[in-house]
Amino acid sequence: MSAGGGGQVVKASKFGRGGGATQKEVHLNLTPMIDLMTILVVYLIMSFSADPATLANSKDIQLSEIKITQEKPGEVSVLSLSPKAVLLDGREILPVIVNPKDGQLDFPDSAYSGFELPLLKDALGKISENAKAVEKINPSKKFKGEIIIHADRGVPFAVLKPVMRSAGNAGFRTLKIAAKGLN
Amino acid sequence: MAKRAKVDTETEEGGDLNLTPFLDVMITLIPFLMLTASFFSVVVLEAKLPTPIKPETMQNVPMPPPFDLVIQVPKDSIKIYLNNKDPLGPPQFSVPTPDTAYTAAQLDDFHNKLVEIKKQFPKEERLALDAHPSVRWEKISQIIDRARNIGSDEPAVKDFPDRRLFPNIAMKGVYVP
Repeated sequence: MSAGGGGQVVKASKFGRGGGATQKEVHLNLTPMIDLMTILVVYLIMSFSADPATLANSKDIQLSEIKITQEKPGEVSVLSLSPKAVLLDGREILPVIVNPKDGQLDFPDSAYSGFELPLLKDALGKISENAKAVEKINPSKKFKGEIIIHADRGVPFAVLKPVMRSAGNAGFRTLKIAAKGLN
Repeated sequence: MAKRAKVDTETEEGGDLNLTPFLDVMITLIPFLMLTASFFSVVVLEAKLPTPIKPETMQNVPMPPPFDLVIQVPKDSIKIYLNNKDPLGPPQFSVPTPDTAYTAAQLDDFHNKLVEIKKQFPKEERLALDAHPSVRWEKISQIIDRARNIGSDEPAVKDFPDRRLFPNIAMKGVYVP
């Protein structure tokens, strides 16, 4: 790159009849490309840090689109529900299957105990116990019983009911439903 | 030795900056960031799970409750029950929604009805949501969105500057003992 124009020196050969004798130096000006890349990288890094990555970038979960609410998600545990699995903070807890009886999404029979999902309840219970232990040490970090429900928009409410019930029984009674803000 | 010294002097005089490592980093970073970046904002709607009333406080609960607003969401409509003495009686408001997704007009009708109710009961903020198990989650999310707040561009903002409609939403049918 030259000092003034930011160009890269490229040696171009002259082909053709009688060619090869002379070589010409062509300066490729890289400054606009570097400017563009720098702006792009800064913008992408800013947008990367603005939203929790676990919420926005799950390929299996298409969020609902809503118009009015603009409240941002806080730093609480994320319970994701895709048509394939239930994940707690990105860790798979239970599979979601298609019920052969009615063709609807459901959990395997073995996952149920009454109307709740014990495996999910236990995993959530550990998180709430830890949060309560932290609260005892540091009262400013109060456990509010909040959890983000990051569910695919096509999932029927029947699948979410046992998930919500398990969350409620584990101490998470305030649901923060993640959605795509259109405003 | 003399030849080598000459080459070094030429490089210094030219002042060339080797941008190849910088470009390599940029070209690696940009696809990674583009794949992971979200180009929409994620927002959250708050809803609460109903909790049972303690037996010792049961006698303090007025029956029937002074304000009882229930949104029922069957497969094909949205129904509003306001202080309905007969639980099997007709709703005060109903929007037919035969399609798999709600239209903006259907959601606006529902929202406008809630704004009317809010004008009648400006201090009330509670609402119970009773959805059919087969209803898609997107429909429930949209109903919660329209029931919680008033849009910043709506005329009702003059009456309710805090834009709160019925933000204390309890999910019916998800009883937590």
